[in-house]
Amino acid sequence: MAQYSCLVVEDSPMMRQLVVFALGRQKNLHVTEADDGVDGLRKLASTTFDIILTDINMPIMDGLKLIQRVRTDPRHKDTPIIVITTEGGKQDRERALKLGANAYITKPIQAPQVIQTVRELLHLE
Amino acid sequence: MSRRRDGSTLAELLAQNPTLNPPDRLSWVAWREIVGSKIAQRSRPAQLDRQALTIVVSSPAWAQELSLLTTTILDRVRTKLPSVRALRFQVGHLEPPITPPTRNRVVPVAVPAELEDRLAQIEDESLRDLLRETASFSLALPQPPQRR
Repeated sequence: MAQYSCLVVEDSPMMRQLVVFALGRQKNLHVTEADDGVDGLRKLASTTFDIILTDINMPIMDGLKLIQRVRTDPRHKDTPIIVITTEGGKQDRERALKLGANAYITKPIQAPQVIQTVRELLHLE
Repeated sequence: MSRRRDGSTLAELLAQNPTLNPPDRLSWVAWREIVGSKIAQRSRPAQLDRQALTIVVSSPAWAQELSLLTTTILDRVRTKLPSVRALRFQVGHLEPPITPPTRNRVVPVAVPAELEDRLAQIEDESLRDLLRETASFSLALPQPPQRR
């Protein structure tokens, strides 16, 4: 079975843990965690990932800036990005999609929704 | 941090005050420290009954999500309320938190062109963004009166 790598960028350790729990249902996915956008970029500088999940509201560098930076890097410009937003974060979702995110999921994280979105973007059956 | 004559800080005295910190209740601030601000916005600690702490959450989906973190949350709750043995998640109305007054929020302003030119000379993009952001907040702060 092919292995896939996933970067999860979320500043809240508990929210991050929930995302990692959800992704744990997809057995061939190796998850790397980052505390915020800057930490995410640091990890992206040394590794390539098959998919990125990022929160929007984070200190130091938010998810929108991270998407901008990822999309201007030739190594990651085609990497699928899923943004994690709050239920009321319609504006954030629209901005994220405009900047190049491929999909969004809303909090609270629903594991089946996360897995379905990841599988669709990785073209897994 | 300033200390009183008996050597204790104001924070320590407040933490010991049984009116502000009843032994069977967690303040919202303590709850926020435990779960982080994002989860604290969607949940509140309620009453402690027979060693079970009820957590009120905004929706069934949040109850389901947080129940996955029961062990982690319980471990952290017990650092503040050691008598707690179990958590119960209950959907309900979330009262707005009672928090200390905060300072007025600073709205960042545009960085002047002269400073933008200088920033452009910084090669590291992360550093450049960080300095631009810092400057835009700093320039938005009220300026102290000029001395003659």
